Amino acid sequence: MSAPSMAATLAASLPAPSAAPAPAAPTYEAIPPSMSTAIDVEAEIPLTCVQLDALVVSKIIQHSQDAPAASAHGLLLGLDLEGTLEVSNSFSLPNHTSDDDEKVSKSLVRYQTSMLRSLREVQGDDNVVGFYQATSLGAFYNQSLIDTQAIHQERLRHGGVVVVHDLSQTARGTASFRAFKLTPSFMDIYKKSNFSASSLVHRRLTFSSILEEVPLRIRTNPLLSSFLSGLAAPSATSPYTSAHLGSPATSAIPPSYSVLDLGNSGLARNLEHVAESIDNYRTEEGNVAYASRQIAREKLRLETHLAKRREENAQRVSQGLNPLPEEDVSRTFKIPPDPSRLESLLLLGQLDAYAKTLESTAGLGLAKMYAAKAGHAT
Amino acid sequence: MEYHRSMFEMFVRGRGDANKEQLNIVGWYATGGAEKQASQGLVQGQDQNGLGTYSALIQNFYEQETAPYPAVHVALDTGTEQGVGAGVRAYVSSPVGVTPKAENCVFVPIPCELRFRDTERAGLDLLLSSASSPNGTAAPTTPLSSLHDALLSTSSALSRVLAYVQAVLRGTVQPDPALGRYLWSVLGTVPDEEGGWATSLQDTLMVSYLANLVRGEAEVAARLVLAGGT
Repeated sequence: MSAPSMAATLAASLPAPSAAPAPAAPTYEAIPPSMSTAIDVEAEIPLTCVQLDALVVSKIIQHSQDAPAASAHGLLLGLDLEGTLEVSNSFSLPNHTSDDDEKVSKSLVRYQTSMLRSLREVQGDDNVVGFYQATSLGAFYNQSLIDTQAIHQERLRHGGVVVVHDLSQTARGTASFRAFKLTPSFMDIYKKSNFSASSLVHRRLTFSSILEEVPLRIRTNPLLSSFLSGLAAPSATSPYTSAHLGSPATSAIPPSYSVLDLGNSGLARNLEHVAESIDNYRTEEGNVAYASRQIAREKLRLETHLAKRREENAQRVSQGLNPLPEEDVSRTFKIPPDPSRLESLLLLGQLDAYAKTLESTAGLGLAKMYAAKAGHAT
Repeated sequence: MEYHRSMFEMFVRGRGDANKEQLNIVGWYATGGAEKQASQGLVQGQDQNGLGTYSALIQNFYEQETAPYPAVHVALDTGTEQGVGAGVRAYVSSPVGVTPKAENCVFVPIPCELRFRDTERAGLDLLLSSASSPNGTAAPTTPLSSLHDALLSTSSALSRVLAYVQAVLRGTVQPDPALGRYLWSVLGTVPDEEGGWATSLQDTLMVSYLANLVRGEAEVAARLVLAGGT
């Protein structure tokens, strides 16, 4: 018997392996809502990038231009997916200048809820992921921004981001969108609301470490891309010599050269802002110094009082009487708390931002002037 | 309809109370419905030119909203059907038919033009750049890179003009007097400001130095607080 046939008979004698029972199809049970926050897979993935839809870009630009004097702000809606925060829609929040805080906040909340409800009716996104703020000349460090961002960061799943849109830079030819989050060290201090110098030292916090920037991308969906390329494509309907000049130059969206503008008007305003913020900072520094002097004075008084008490006690002991208690001094001498350094920190941040914009504008102006000179020399 | 009213109110509120001119509804838009090829005939009256059987009803509703002005209907073609380009068309309606029923109206096309403000141009550039990139995403550009791009395009435009002028001089291309006059007027007016250039250069350098100084000072002040000083 040849080996193969022996193997064949052996194989035939073995009991045919029963087909492995099909593994029980996993039954999918819905995660009970009480557990859904515990098994939140997405929350584990940290945020690495923010992606804005083209719709959001145009809406933010339009709102910033309609609103008076860089006061535009609104909410961002979208979804966070695998470390990328995709913002797909946004709406503007009304800007209230009335002085009644309670009423303003309540009406804002009502506006927000009704807006979200309406969006849900038309199956739009209704998941708030952050908010946006328009600014001018690059300075956006103010109290309200920090407050709102802190609230968002506590409540939202990945901590909301702030998208800052710089109006003046867009007007000069480069659309500028930046996304920020509050750093964890700043969040700690903010939760404890303790902005004294000692806690700042403890965390090594300067104005540059309040916000950290998140990289930002703009995304256009394919339909929009095809529409835009159709608009920007040159159409040969110019009466002028498209053949002569090598390539036609008419389209619905002709190229713009606004960035080559040599104007210096922005510089003057920027300088004014820098000077103003320096003044503000000095005022704030003066306040902080005054408060610290107060504290020092109170401490000195307390010390002298304590020293007197101890002297008296020594005298009394030497005379054989009971010593006076020393603990009630703390109640009569109240030392005011350390001044909050938050305001001066923010002002420094403003100052730095203005100076940075000034610097970049000046640098660009330098390049443009050399280019103009080269054009003129020929 | 409730949705429509509440959204409109909120939109107007969100725009800002300080807005002097009131925002009004001027019309409505709809997508979908490609222009059927002429060979298919007009048998399928539905979705002709982006209009549907319900268009007239909705148009009637909006006529009441925008009274006394006529309501504008903007039909947007996304160009997903073969043979139809993407485009935007605008119509106003006028009643037709023997009896003035609400559902009878004929849509009269009106010229439609895309306009954008100068300041929005930068945002549009950004969208265009992301539209032309391979996977549809792009990062916002820095001012320096956009300056670079603008300079490059200026340089290429200049070389195109140079090639044309040289061709005219060589006699290979027929000179066009209107074009020649235009070039002469544009390129001939270069202002002569030797001294002015030097002073503005010095000003710019000084401003740049000042800005750097301020930034350094701010940083030092922040660190001083950390070091315990006031």
